[in-house]
Amino acid sequence: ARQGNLLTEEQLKNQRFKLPLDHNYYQMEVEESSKSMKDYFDLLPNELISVVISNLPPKDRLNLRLNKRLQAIEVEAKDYTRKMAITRSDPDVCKIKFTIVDAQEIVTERSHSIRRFSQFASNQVYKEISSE
Amino acid sequence: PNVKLVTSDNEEFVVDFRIAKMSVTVSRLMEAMNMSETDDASLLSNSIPLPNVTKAVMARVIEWCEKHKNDEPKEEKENDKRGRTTHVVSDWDKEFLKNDEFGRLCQLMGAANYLEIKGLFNDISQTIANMIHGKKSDEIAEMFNIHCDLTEAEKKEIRKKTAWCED
Repeated sequence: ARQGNLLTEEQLKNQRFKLPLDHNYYQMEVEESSKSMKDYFDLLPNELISVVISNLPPKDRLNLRLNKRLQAIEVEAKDYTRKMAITRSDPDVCKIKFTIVDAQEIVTERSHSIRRFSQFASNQVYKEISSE
Repeated sequence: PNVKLVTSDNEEFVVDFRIAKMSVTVSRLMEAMNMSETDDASLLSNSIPLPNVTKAVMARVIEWCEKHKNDEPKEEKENDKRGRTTHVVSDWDKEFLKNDEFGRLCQLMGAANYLEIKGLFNDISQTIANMIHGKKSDEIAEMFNIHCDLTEAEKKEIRKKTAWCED
């Protein structure tokens, strides 16, 4: 049943954003509003920030969780990691290393939100995969 | 043949048909208005309204399009060791975007999205990502003047939740 979650090359490509993204940003007079802007990311709608985030590796994405809005966008944004190694450093903690390595547990061709990766880390999904 | 594009502030830009066609949005509008490359009368008698783009931004968009009008359609390279599809910003594009302050980059990105010019959109989103890449949280916060509205408890929770990520 979990075969449906495995993404083919074509599916991964199709998951990339398609323009135009839906938002009403264009009415904003940026030059005027930016003078009093406290936060430069206020200039971008969530959809466009999400695209920027999708271009970042996980560590940078996590560093961007600087306020509630960015955190919410980052949590929902997809990451397109093809391979990752799940390593266990102690019985309760499972860490994910985002490099292609010859480790025993490698999950390929998957695309998940960081929340999902977090679930991997806490071993919930890993158990499901192990039992496939 | 030339196409007339009219911005939100009523500035008229006369551009080459090939440049107009680089925007999927303009392309669709021309099709809807029966404007054809071989029908000069249709091009002369019509103009394409672009109410979501100002003249300042349009000028930048056209500058980018002029440079890229003869480009072959690009395949995105899978050159990241993590397998993400990344966009490589060319040297010319880096130079083109480097002096734009962040507010202008955002305007351009919005215009590229509205006009559906994927190459320009990718260039800008990758440029912003490159500005963030490798920076620490406090450096990013300072660079983009990001106001932190998280409580200490929330920050602690985030640190706890993201401790699993090794790089």
